[in-house]
Amino acid sequence: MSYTRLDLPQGTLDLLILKTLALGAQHGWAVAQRLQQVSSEALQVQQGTLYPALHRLERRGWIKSRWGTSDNNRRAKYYELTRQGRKQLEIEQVNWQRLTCAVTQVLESA
Amino acid sequence: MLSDLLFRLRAILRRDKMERDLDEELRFHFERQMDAYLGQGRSPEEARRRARLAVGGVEQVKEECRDARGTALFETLVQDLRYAARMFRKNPGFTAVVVLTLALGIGANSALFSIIENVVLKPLPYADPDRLVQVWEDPSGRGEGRNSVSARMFASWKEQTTMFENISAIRSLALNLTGEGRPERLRGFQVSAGYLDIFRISPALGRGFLPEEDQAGKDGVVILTNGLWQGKFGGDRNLIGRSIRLGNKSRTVIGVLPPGCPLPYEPEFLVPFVYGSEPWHQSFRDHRLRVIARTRPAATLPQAREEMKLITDRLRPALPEFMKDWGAVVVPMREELTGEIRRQLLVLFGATAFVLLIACANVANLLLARASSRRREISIRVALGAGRRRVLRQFLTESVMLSLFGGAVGFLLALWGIGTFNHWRPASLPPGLVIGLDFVVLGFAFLLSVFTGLAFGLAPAVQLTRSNLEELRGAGRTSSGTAGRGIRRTLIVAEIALAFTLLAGAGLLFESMLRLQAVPLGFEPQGVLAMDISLEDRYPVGERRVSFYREVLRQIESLPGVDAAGMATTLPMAGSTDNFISVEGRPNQYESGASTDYDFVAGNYFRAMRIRLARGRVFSEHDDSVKAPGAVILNNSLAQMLFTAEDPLGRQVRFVGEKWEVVGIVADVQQRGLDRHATNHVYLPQAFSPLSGSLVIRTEVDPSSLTEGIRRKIFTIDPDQPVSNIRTLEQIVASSVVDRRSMLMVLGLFATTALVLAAIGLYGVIAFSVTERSQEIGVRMALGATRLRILTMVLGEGIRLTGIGAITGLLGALAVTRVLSRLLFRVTPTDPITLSSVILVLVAVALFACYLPARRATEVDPMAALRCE
Repeated sequence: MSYTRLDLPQGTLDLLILKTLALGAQHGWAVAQRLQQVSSEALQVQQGTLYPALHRLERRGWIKSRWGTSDNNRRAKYYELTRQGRKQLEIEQVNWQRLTCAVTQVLESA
Repeated sequence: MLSDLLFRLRAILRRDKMERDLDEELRFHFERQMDAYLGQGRSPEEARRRARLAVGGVEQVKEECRDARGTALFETLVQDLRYAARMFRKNPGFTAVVVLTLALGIGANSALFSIIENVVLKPLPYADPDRLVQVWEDPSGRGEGRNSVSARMFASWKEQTTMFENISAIRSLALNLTGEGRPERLRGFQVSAGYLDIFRISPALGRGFLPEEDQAGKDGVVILTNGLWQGKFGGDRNLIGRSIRLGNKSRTVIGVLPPGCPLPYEPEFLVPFVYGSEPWHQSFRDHRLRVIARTRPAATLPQAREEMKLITDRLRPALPEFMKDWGAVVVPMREELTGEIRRQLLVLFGATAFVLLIACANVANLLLARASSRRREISIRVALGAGRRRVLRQFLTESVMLSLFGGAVGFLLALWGIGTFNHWRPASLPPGLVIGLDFVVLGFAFLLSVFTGLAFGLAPAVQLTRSNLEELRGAGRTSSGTAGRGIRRTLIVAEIALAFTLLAGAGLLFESMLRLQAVPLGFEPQGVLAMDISLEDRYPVGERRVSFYREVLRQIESLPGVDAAGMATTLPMAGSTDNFISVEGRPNQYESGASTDYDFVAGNYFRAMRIRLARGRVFSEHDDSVKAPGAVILNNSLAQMLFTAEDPLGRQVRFVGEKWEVVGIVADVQQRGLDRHATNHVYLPQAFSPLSGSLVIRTEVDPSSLTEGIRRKIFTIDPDQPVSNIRTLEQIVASSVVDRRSMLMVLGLFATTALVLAAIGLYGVIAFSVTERSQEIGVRMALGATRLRILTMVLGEGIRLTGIGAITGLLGALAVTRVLSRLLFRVTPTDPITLSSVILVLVAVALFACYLPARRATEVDPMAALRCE
């Protein structure tokens, strides 16, 4: 595995998961795949970080889970945003943009 | 927040389902990953292998998911506990040693804590106890002295104070109760009318004193304690209003105190203190009262002190010469009642804390030693995906569990210790206090156990989790590394230092005790029986009284086995009464006079006590009569002070307002206790005494065997005359040092425990080091090292550790033992002889502890050791 992988800053994965789930209910595998595709392979989410993150978000009440049938007819656990999760996504999105703006400004001014 | 908790709760309650779901979820992920590889055209085996590599350790992911779900805390706890229990069952010896060691430490601490909680932390059992104070006259004038109060001083205070809502004089006295079956001598108080109001106590039966009942003529009343009412009067409710004969005077019982209502110094009855009823009430010089008061709600202690100072200053012109600098001190009652024992308890608590620390260090060392044998196990668990923190927690769970076991056993030990304490019950405890275990103590023991577990578990746990895969790949026979050895040695040095400090404290007390016992008493207590006899008004001062006690003494001396019998006001070490004495005919009486203890004596007192006559003569029957010209005997100190180089014999002195002729000089007696300087003492003939006294009987047989015979003799002379408080003089002497002796015993016990624990610890460390170095030792021997050389090498290691520990401990002891200084006697806290003896003991014990492993080192077979390599 010799991809040049980016390390996600603390808490960023949560934001990305929320964003991915904003499109609709997904199971864990699909979330990982989607993040990988959308980021042009730059972000590789290991199951070791993905699932704990999903469970943590569920505990916080931002996403909820249910068992459904996947496209290949297997039982899979689907996650979707709760109302609270949607609010949280907006907040985090704004925060992220402000943060990156600020960081960029500092970096470019130097 | 709530939903979060509910989620966790559900996760815990439906654990099996959660686990199944997690399994399935991760399997789904794995299968999709495999599908993806299959889609790339790989063989099923290849796809499976790659998928497994891609997804990583399943167990680790599960663990983290559980963590994320918040159930991990609980689940791993159960797991850890099970695992720990298994470990303990597999090593019962190890577990027992650890649990017992901790039980000692935790038990001692819990017992001490419960005593401290009750004695020091709990308020006195009265309403608004913070406003209760005791007031003393202060000879130092700087707030340091505590002198009993003269009645006249008390009256002035009472008249002028505004800061106290109530102030009461207390005079202890013993009165004979007669006409109620067998005559009995009861201990009680004369008190001002407001006494019970100060404590906010009202009688359970009847009433308290009326304000006018401490006036002359209205004082024929008495209040009984519940204990006396139950014990002597069978709880008769009709007793209220009835008259009883107390102190040869008829008094109406007006009240009975509620049960379980302890008063300080535990009187059995209360009668009014009538100011002005006796001549000594008019004098500032005659100090006989204890004074208690309750401050007004708005008044503070400093305000009360300030006011007392003002009042004393106002009185100053009227005070006698020797009291010119005296002041008054106001002491919170709590401090008055618990001050001394509080200090001792805190010292002991410190000592138990030391023992616990040593126990912790020992257990930590044991765990460290065992840790090295568990390194492989840990490495494997880490390799299988256990997180560092997870392993750390496993270890801490184990140590806390051990510690809780220890705490449980320790709690039983504490129960036993407290039972013993209650049984032994030092005299200096506040009234009515029985130490019990309560939830506070239980909580203390529990918290202590948990903290203890964390404390001794941390070092090995941290050290263990540093191990990593490198070590697993390594030979597996790696030593525990220099870090572990470093911690173990630091711990053992700390143990030795702590043990040293405790030993030094115990040693200093022991030395004090020896020196105390070497103090010449001035009398011989062996084979002397003592009993109190109160003559009172039935035998008023006069010839009837003299002939009565003469007859008593004569009858007693006629008993077989009795050598001599006498009588005195206050026996040595059983109290003292003092007054002012001066030489007759000197221009300035107060300049040349002195304060002196005094005794009225009768019969063969000096012979019975074996007090040496230095010059002149003892009293004859002729002196002991109210009609005789007063004769006195001085002790050496007083004769020196009054007459220096002059000859005192035949000179006149003035005492209690009378003139007396000095007829003899006797040796000094330790009247006020072994640890005091010899005090001035004047002896006067018993005939002039208005006071009660004690009989002393020197016997040629076992003193206590004569008790009944003596009782019978007195009964035949006067069936209404009680004797009480029968004990031997040796018991009186012993009880004067009982506080010190018990302190020494308890501290000695702790110090010995500490020494034994430290020795075991040292043994463990050296033994372990020998095992670790057995190859090295084998090589050395193969290269020609003699057994002696090996022996000294190992012993040297132990002695080095002991030396560092002893030096550290010496510094600690120098800093800490000064808290003992009040209990020390003619020994400074830095006494070089004591401290060097302690070093010797420590080194001897250390040598012994190291000798066994050192001997084993010499028995290492070089061939076997080398073959292992």
